[in-house]
Amino acid sequence: MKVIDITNLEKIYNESEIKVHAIRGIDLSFEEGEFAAIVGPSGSGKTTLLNMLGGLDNPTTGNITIGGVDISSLKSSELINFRLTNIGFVFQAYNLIPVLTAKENVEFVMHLQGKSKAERDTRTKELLESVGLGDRLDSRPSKLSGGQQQRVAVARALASKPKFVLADEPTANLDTEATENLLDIMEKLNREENITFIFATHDARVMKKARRVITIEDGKVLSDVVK
Amino acid sequence: MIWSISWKNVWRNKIRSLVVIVAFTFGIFGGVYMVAVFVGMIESRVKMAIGNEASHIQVHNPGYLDNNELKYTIEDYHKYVDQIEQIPEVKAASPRIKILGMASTSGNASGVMINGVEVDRERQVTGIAESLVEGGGSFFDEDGRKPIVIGEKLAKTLKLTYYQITSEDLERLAERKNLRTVLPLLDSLTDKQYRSEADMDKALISLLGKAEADKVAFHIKAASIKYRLKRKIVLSFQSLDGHIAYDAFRVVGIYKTGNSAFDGLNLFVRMSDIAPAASMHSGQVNQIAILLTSVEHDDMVAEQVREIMPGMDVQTWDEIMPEAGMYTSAMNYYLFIFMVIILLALGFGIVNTMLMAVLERVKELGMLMAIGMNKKRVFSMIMLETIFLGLTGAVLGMVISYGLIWYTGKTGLDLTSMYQEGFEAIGFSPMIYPSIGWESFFQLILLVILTGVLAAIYPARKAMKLNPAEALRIDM
Repeated sequence: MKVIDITNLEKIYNESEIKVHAIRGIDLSFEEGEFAAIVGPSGSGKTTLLNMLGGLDNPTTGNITIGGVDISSLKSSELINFRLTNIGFVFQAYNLIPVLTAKENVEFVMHLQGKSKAERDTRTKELLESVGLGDRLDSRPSKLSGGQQQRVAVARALASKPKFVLADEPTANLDTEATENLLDIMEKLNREENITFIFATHDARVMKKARRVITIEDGKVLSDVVK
Repeated sequence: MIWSISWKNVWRNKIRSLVVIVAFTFGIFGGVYMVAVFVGMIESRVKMAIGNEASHIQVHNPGYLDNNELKYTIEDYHKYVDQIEQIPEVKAASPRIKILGMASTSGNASGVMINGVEVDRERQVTGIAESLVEGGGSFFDEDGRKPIVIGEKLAKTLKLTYYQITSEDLERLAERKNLRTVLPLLDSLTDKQYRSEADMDKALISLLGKAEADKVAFHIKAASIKYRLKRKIVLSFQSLDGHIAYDAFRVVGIYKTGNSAFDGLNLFVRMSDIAPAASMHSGQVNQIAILLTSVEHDDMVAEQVREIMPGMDVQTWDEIMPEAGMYTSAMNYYLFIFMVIILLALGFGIVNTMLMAVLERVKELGMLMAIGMNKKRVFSMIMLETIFLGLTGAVLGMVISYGLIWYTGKTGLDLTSMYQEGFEAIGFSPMIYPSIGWESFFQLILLVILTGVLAAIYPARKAMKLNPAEALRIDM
């Protein structure tokens, strides 16, 4: 089943009269359960593509359809709700809420969704256990290592039961061991919960693990390899 | 959840938040306490004015109010006073003959208000009998011929005071720590008489030097002032039949109320002594002053008195002294203005702090919006943070203010040594009991919350307007 369908996507930034053509016509689609990496040198347009996929940025032309909904037609307030229920985010710098514990960070999204306390408790515990942090529920981010923080971020991204997870350079700040560990966990969750993961990365370790590698250069798809 | 995050966010940068909270605490404390001191001053002024000067209710012949002439009288006052004293809320009523006249001694003369009173009734209505100065005789205790009680200020004007440091005065002064060093020097002045305050000042300056004398003269003069009791005062005034009358009285008492203007003007004689000289027959007075059991009955009793004495002018204390009522309401405006200014300054401080808090958290806010926190929630989160910050300081400030107002309201703030003369010149007591009404207190709380909300809007809007994609890209 198709989760994401991108057709004829273009993005032009109009910064001080000089037009920057970040995305120059991309057609792509992602199936449910994919574990895909978008790779390319910096400035190739992969973050722009990821932002548009995540509904954080609007395409200049073209359409992005997620689960049958054309998100480029949504108003910004509708987009926020759409992101809340359909998309999970993992960022390079973890971006946890520093004043909340691991458990509260994961719970936060479900709070925004208005889930009941019982539901929040079970799912939070389950998720933190599956990322190997069942014993760190009450730790604040500052007491966790980078790898642990990123695992909390993964748990948070999954808390809302999204259609897919977007991860922008999730391993860039991690050492090899933490990276391996994180990728193993994400792959496990991908298989067990059948959740689509899409990475933007230039980390070879991620590309190795990914089952599909899409290479972008100058805003165009250079190659799309399914392993 | 948002409430708890906001509260936790306040404490992210502890020092910065504490600085704002402390600023708020002191700002509120300063404003509230200052106002409480003023309100306390005014309340005691009003109390004093009611107790010594105006009483709660005064009755006059309507003509008297226009030009204070003797001929505008209340007839058969006994009948009315008896009826008025039947009203349960009335403590006592004092009939008075009021004559504008001149008091002269061998030393000087001064315009005065002669109060011809029934001593026992007057005692119950005013505090003058309890306000006699030390060494200043009594309130008509001795049965002499034509006794008179005058204010200290008038006694000074009429040269009925002098200064003499006695050994007892030195003993009393020795109790004051700050005078210990100068006391031995005063021995050389002991038992010398100085006829006026100016002479005493001169002697002290030549003995101690200007700087030292300025510091201690007030206490030394207060301790060494003596009164020339039993001296003769001649009162002259126009009697009811139009003649100028003269009559001599002997000083038996000197009082001091804390309002030197009142003390300089008002003297008291027995009604039975002054009435014949003024050609007034028994039963004629110019005023009946009424003291109540409590000030809140004033309008109700005034209404009953109007029924008892139709055609007479019945005024309550706030009509007699409109300035006293005006002070109170003016203070409420001042409170408002002070607090608005203080809160405005504090509000900008909060805006600044919260803007910093928002700007240094752009990336986090971008993340929150990316993962699905909508603008309304981001806005409320920052609003709440700001309000918490302000309220914490405000609550602390209010608690400290209330505690200190309560405490000093019991013990009193004693400004006697610093400003006694100045305060008394304008009719205020130098002993201040700070006080603030609940109404003002609640008004303040509302004002503080309003400030918090207003100060919160700008930073919260700034946070709400962030674009998550851009915010996330910022390197911090």
